[in-house]
Amino acid sequence: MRSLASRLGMSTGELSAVALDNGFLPLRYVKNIGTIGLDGQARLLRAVVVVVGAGGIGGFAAEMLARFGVGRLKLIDPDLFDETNLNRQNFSCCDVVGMAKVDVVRDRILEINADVEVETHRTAAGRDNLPDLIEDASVAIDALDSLTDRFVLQEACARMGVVMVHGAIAGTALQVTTIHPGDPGLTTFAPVLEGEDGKAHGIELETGNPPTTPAISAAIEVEETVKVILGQGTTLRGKMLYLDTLDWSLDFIDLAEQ
Amino acid sequence: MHIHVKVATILLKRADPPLTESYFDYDCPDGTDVKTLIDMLGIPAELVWSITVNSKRSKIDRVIMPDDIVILIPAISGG
Repeated sequence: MRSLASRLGMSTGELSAVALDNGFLPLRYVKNIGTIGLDGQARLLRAVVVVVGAGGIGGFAAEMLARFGVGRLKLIDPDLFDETNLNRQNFSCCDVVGMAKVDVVRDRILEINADVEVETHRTAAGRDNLPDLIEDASVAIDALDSLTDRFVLQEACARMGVVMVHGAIAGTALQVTTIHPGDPGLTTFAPVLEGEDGKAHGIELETGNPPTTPAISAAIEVEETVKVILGQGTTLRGKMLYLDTLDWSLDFIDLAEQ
Repeated sequence: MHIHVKVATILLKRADPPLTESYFDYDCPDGTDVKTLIDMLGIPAELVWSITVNSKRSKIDRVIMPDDIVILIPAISGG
């Protein structure tokens, strides 16, 4: 596949998309097709998704997006893996401690699916760079770790007309919502706790983040992302899913202005 | 009056005295608002990020009515 794509002067992802356009199904997507169809798979291969944060949620989200066959991923994170990441972050291993998260995640994704083009940005996402980084994206996945940064991401997504899929975790709880440009989204909430970094945080400052909730949150965020790209199903727009795995309670919080 | 309360499990230990159940019925005076309820439960108000009453987001000064279902959820922001 790779050599044929090279001979034709296109990426393997584009070659896979052209194959799907013509009714040919690359075997690696066989188990996707019953759910999203050939056309849906081709659309994913031509989609751009930005994963903002390559830690707990972001690492799992990036892997799932690659296995789904989202054709172009942009990874944004300034951090290096450290020992505190080893309990939960998908690609953190002892031998990558000290290495840039975006580089490790990119290498792993390319091992999983060579159809995916990965663009890495080892930088903090902020007001100055987010508009350029997300301008060609269908969806920006929020895998950040502070409320302050999430408000900035929502502002940038609104400005650039990009859908933001928000997810966050703390202890045994997680929440996800999908925010379209102009939606109130997270702005209906007031930040409450300030961390040592001077940014607004939630109760994860006390509970920490055990291994399971990043993967669950990432899975729901990826489901939302695929539905947005394909225009299928019902998303979490206008409501916040809040799942507590300790008592298995599931709430949907109406995000309409009060 | 009699109301129904759900407190996210993360907040149970933060109540004073600590709560043991996340769902419970509660008796409070007529005219009690959400802020007063949070104070009566001994939960630090700054930890409560989302308040819903009967499935609708509500402000902290909302007056609770008999049989209302009040849900208190903290801010979470880990990634």
